[in-house]
Order: sequence, then structure tokens, then C-alpha cells
Amino acid sequence: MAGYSRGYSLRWAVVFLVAVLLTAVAADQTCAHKLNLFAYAKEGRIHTEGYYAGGGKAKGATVSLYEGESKLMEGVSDENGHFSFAIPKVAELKVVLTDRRGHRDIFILTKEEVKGAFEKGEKTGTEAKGQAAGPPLPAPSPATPPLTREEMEQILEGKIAPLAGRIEELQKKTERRTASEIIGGIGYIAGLFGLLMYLKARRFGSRKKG
Amino acid sequence: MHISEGILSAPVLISGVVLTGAAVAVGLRKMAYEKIPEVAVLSSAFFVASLIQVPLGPMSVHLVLNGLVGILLGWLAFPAILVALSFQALLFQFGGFTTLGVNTFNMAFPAVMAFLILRPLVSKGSRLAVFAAAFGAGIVGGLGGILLIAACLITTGEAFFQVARVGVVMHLPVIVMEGIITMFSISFLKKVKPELLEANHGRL
Repeated sequence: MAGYSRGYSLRWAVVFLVAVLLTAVAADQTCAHKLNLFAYAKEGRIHTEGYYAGGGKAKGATVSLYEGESKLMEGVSDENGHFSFAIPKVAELKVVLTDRRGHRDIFILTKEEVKGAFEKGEKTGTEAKGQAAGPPLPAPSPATPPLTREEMEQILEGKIAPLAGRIEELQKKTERRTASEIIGGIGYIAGLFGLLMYLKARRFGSRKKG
Repeated sequence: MHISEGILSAPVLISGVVLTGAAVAVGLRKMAYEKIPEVAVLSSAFFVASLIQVPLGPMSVHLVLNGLVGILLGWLAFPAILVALSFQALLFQFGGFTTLGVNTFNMAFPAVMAFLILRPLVSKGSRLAVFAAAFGAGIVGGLGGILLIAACLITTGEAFFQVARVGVVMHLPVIVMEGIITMFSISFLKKVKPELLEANHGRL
């Protein structure tokens, strides 16, 4: 009797484990169509690009701009998944992308990034309201002295710092060990030893399993 | 505690492969059909344990559980740990493939040592002896692992006693925790499934 109850609960454990593993695999599938949003601030405008993890562009998706909880602007992405608008306010801005399939992604632009682009926009005089093309290049003035090496390095540093921060964030994200990977590893181990059991069982012919 | 790629020289890596290969062969021979599920469970436990990192000051340390694996599996610890380390390297880039032989040996050899020395006490000793032996197994596993890793690192030019001392000091809390966890696990198993801890007469 003891052997029977042990086999019974073992079967339930196996069913449960298989169910958990299948769920983990299914969860992974949804990520293949994950909606991604990338946004950056440049010369007075905020440019956004929506795309799916599989590679397709997010066209006709709603792009909303928030400051905290208040919505500042809203628009619709074009055929290439792009949408851009003039910076309405210098603050930490949150861009929210929502498509018609119920997917959503958020991108946060730091205040410094917005400020830098806003000031640059004021300087080059871009006050576009719609999706205008890039601003005309300012004519080089002979009166301004060429930049010193130090000035150039400062400017570059200012531009690269937020990029470096974002790369670090991305690196941390990829290094994190997800639960599905751990469960997957356990599954692989179980499968490997299960195979071993199968191979060893054949050698003994038909074995009666309690 | 897993040595990464590109640190050890070829002779060390090759000896690791040879030693581990021989020990795994021994383990496979001794692996009875009924023992395989147990080996799989402990291999998974070892796999997960190393992924649970506990921040300790500037670094983070992780559990190993090779003492527990050793007491329960004996020589079967070698295939169990090899499989777990392989998947850690494959899925998480933890350790490396060229270092699989060396890393497996560093983790599994102390496990087998703990088994050879302490399993008789666990099987047939008094209640206190079981506690002490299980705690000892955890310590042997953890300490042995660190000493073997330090021995490997000598070949890269590091001074053994320096590395060993620093390693032991840093991992002391983890080693003690391993002892405690092994102690409670074994006493629990002794109550719930004593067949796992019977005297094995060289079968393992």
C-alpha cells in the first residue's frame, strides 16, 4: 500500500511540474510580440519609435506624453512606427505607447535630456508644431572662435553620459537570471536523468514500476 | 566560486577533465536505476543553490550544498554536479566549459570526501552524531571547495596561503550556513525517508 500512495503522489507531482514548465514556455512566447518603445529628445523635439520584438514596426499606435500623471500630448505613430512632437515642457517626461492589441510600453526621458534638447531647440530657432522635418542647419559664423579641445570633450561627455547610463541599465537587465531560465534548467536536468533512466531500464528488459 | 574561462593554464584544465572524467565514470557505474531520480533532484538543488546569491559586504556569496549532495550520493555526486555545472555554464555563463572538469572536481571531490568520512556516522550514529556529522559534511564541502580553488589558482601565480586565507575568511559565514543547512536537511530526511541514509556498503 505504501508503494501505491507514493506512486500516486509522484504522478501528480509530475503533472504539476509539466504544467508549470508549459506555462513558463507559453509566457516566453508572448515576449516574441512584445511592444517596445524607444524615445529620445533632440533639438527641441521628442522623437519616438515603436517596434515589436519580432521586428515589425508599430504603426497606428497611440503615443502619449505624460508629466507624472498628467497627460500633456497625444499622437498616432506613422507607417514606420515613428512619431515626434515639440517639447512642451522641460521636466521628466514619460512616453507611453499603446497599440490596438493591448500591448503597452513606457519610456522615461530624464529632465536633463529634455532640458538639453529644449535649449538646443530654442537656440536653433525650431518651433515646429506638427511633424516637421529637421531644423535648417545654422550657417557657420566666422566670428565664433573654433572650439577648444576641452570644450569639445565637455560637450561629448554631456551627450554620452545618458547613453552610458542606458547601456548599463540594459546590461543589468540581460544579466538578471529570470525564473523561467531557472525552471528551464531544472527541466533540462530532469529530462536528462529521465533519459538516463530510460536507457538503463532497457538493459533490464521489462521492469515493473511500482 | 566557479572559476571562469581564461584563467587557468591548459595542464590544469586537462588534469581537471581527466580526474573528473574518471570519477564520473566511477559514479555512473555505481548508479543504480532506483537512485537516478534522487540524483536528478540533488543535481537540480545544486543547480539552483548556486544561483541564490547573498550579498555580503562588497561581494556576494552563494550556497553550494556539495556537502549535502556528497552525503546522500557518494560517488554519484560527480555526475550530479557535472550536469548541474554544465547547465549553469550553458544557461547563465556561470563558470565555463573549458573549466567544467576543474570546477566539477573542486565541488565534487570534497563531496565524496565528506561521504567517505562522515556517511557511516550519519547512517548508524546517535541523534547527536547525525547532527554533528551532517554539520561536518557541510563544512567539509564548503572548506574543501575553497581550498581546491585556491590550489588551482596557485598555478596562475597567486600565493596559495594568501588566496586560501582570504577565501576562507570571506566565505566563513556561507560555510557555517552550509553546515547548518546540511544538518537540518539530513536530520529531516532521517525522519521522513531514512532509506536514503542507510549504510550503503560500498554501493555508492
